Amino acid sequence: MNFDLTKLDRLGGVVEKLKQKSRSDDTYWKNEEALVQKRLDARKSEAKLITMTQQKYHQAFSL
Amino acid sequence: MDTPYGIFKYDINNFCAYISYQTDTSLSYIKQKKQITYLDNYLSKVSQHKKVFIYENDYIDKHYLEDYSSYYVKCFHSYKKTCSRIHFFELVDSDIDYKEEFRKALNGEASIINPQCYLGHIVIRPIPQTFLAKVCLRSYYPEKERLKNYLLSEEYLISLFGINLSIDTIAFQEQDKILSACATTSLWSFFHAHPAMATLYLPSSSQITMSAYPEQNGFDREFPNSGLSTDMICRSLRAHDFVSEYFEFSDANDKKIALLKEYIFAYCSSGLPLILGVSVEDSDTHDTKGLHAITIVGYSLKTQVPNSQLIAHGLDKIYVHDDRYGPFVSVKFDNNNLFISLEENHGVSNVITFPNEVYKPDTLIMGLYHKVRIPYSRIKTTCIDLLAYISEYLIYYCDKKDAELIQALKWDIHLNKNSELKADILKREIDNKSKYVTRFWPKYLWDAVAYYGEVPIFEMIFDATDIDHGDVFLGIIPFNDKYASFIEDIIKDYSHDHFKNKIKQDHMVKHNDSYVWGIIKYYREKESYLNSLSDLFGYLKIPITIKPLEIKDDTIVNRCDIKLNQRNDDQKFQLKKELFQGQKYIWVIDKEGFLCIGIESELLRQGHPTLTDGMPARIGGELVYSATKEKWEVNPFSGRYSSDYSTEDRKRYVSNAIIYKFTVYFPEEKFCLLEDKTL
Repeated sequence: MNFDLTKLDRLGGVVEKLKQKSRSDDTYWKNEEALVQKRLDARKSEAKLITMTQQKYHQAFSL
Repeated sequence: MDTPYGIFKYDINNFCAYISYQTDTSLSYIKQKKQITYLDNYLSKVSQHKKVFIYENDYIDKHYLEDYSSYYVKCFHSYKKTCSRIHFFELVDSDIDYKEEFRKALNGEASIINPQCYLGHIVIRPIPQTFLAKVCLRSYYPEKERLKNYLLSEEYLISLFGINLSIDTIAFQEQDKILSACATTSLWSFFHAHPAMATLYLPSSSQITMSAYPEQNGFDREFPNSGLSTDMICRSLRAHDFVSEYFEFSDANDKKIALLKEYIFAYCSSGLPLILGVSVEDSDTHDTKGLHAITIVGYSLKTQVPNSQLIAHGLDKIYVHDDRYGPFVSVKFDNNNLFISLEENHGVSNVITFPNEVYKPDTLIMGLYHKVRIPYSRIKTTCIDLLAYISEYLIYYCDKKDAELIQALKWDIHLNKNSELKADILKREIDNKSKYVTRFWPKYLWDAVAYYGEVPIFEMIFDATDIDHGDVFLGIIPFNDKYASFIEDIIKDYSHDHFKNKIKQDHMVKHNDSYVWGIIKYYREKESYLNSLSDLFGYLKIPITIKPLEIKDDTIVNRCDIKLNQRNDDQKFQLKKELFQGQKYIWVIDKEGFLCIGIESELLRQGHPTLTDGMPARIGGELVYSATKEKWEVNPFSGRYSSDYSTEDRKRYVSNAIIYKFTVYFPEEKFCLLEDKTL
């Protein structure tokens, strides 16, 4: 990917666009919960992945 | 060996012969010892020059003495109480008479036996076979480059017969197989590497092992020690005032290795060592040799990994203190395992070769200062979730290309200290540094730096000491003012919209494994009345002085004629264009944003504090009618309330006072900022 810093100038325009958007348009937020749920599901398995088991907890390092 | 010292040109044979004599170990055993090959290789990497070594026959090593009194002294066979110590110096000019140089050094004259040529030292225990008591050798990446090659180091001060030397490294030791097995040794290196551990309280191997056992135990005997388990390592950490966190990485797959890299980077790049448990396998025969503990003391990071939002995933090597090899051993990530190999060195031994080994990650143990309470995982989740939400938001309201710019940001998440972060901010080329460095922050912070390519754009700061369900987020600090403010404005807009659309708090809070809600709340609170008053009219401050004339009967005189906060507060009050001679209007904006106006007389000399009862205010000045301009000229001439601001800030705050206060309360009057160089 080309990381030309000036590409970020575009974000200045984004700020302006957001200011002009209709504040009464709430359709985006109706989908927000589904998005949060999706993020939660994505990392639920991650936490379990590295939880230590009792057996491992008591195994000695002895080499 | 009757002399207290000796000096030799370094050669592996005479080095090994000296150790053989001191430890009653056969020369062949020493030459075939893996650690000796590693140390010889290491010395040739640290300096290409020829070397000399100077030995001290008797050296008192605090930790050996502790171990001696715990165990060796009670043996039937008599072991020596003192160790010996070998120092290494590089010979930049190999023809120089090094013996003469040492003689000069011992007579206080300039010599090559100096700190610049010092490569470190090895303390030798007077026991057979397991004699490497303390190895302090110059590390091969002295520059700490967090995003490239990073090795932990502490400064060790050494006195060699009064010659002051120092070295930046982390001490290494070999297990003696009596008082310590690999786990004790890895804890010993861990304590040496941990910045919160005071040198005076560094424990010896026997103390570490004993601290790992419960007082009333059903465990095996402590000594000879046959290893420590995770729970015992954690007990020892707790006994030395650390709190532990541990994770299991056995049967590693891509996801687990990615997580392992994240944890190593997050903590090690913050200057903290970690203990890694591995299962050791012969790389050719795949025979499992057993479980082994090593100390992570550094890492190597290659350039960014595509399709990853975390810089940590670029970790390609870790550097470990491994008592089976030596200090700062390079261990490479390879196909979900760690790969370790020892370069052949026929100069040491042409009889033995060491097989390459695979270290399968098994366990990761961290010992943290107890006030670091917020775990890494939550900060990572917050950063990644926030960008995911913002991206979706931009896709919906703007353009996919805009979202792609946000998605391209990569996080460098690490622990930081308040003082170190602020010192770093002062070095940056950004505006308003004082605004950030004067903020009241806790000592330990989670610091998530967002990079675009290799350029840092901004960082998000989190309170690492907060309670688990606190808001935790403390703000955004720019590296690049322009782009950081664009992104902060987008986050503000998202936060504002979040509230405006009445998204319930529990919607986010019920997924309380991230602090995105804390960020949204932070930006919402930023829009609170008092915060916006500070932005408009300056911060609150007590008057610099209160003059004796302003106090009567131990009370501050009140000369405030009017306090206005709404247009209809007092319609009867009118500004008089002509006052008595020697009188003028003075004004301040107080804590709650009230415009307070009174009259100061040259005779009484009672000024701005008399408008506020001496309480804090934001900005103050004078109000003078100009007949020629037919306008009221407003200035910031209040030595007590306005003098701390820069000229630019003074002008901005007075202009805001004109727009939001004077013009609103006195719509029939005209106001302007005094045009004066003294502003």
